[in-house]
Amino acid sequence: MGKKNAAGNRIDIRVKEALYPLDAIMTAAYGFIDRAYILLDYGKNGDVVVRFRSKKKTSPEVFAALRGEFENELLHQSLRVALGKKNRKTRELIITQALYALKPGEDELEKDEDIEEELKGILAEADEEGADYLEDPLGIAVPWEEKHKKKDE
Amino acid sequence: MNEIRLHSRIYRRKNIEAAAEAFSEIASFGITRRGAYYHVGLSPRDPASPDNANIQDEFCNYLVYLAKRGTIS
Repeated sequence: MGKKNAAGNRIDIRVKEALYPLDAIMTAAYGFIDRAYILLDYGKNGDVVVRFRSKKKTSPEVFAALRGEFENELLHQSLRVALGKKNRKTRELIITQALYALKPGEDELEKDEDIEEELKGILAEADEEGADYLEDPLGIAVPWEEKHKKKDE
Repeated sequence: MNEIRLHSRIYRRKNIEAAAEAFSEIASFGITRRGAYYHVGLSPRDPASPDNANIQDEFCNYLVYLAKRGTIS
């Protein structure tokens, strides 16, 4: 962490990019956009300068406390980025395995083929018997009212 | 017209254009690149609006939001 300047409602925090990745700096800065206006730039010596300007009127002491919060958040985000890089291969492997498990196996494909063949057999049998969908030997299509109609009516 | 200087290694042109599009109802934007910096010219559509003082700052915050959204891993 480099030199820091505080002047009223504005703070410039210098961060060495060699220590903290730009992704981590940006993500850490994002956590403060509700309290401050933020602009990032490169300083003369190549450090990243994070410029905070308070949104509301606050005392310089209160606003200066934001530095500490930002530094802690920067550390947290740097660790997150580092862990993300370290665990990338493991994460990708888990996702690949999860997606591979969703792919139907050979057994299931064989079962589907068996069901299709069985259906074809039933349809062929029905054709041979000369079945017609308009015929209703069991009286299934007869409405309930007609079936249970009282004889008096 | 106000001008914002944004370093090209920190801010992506795609995000700057997306932010300009999001703010297009309240200001017009002109983006040019000079050296390592994008120069964003910003002209409020309503010069009398009291919100003009913060457009530039809100625009920068929106860029931070867009950059952060692109880095979630």
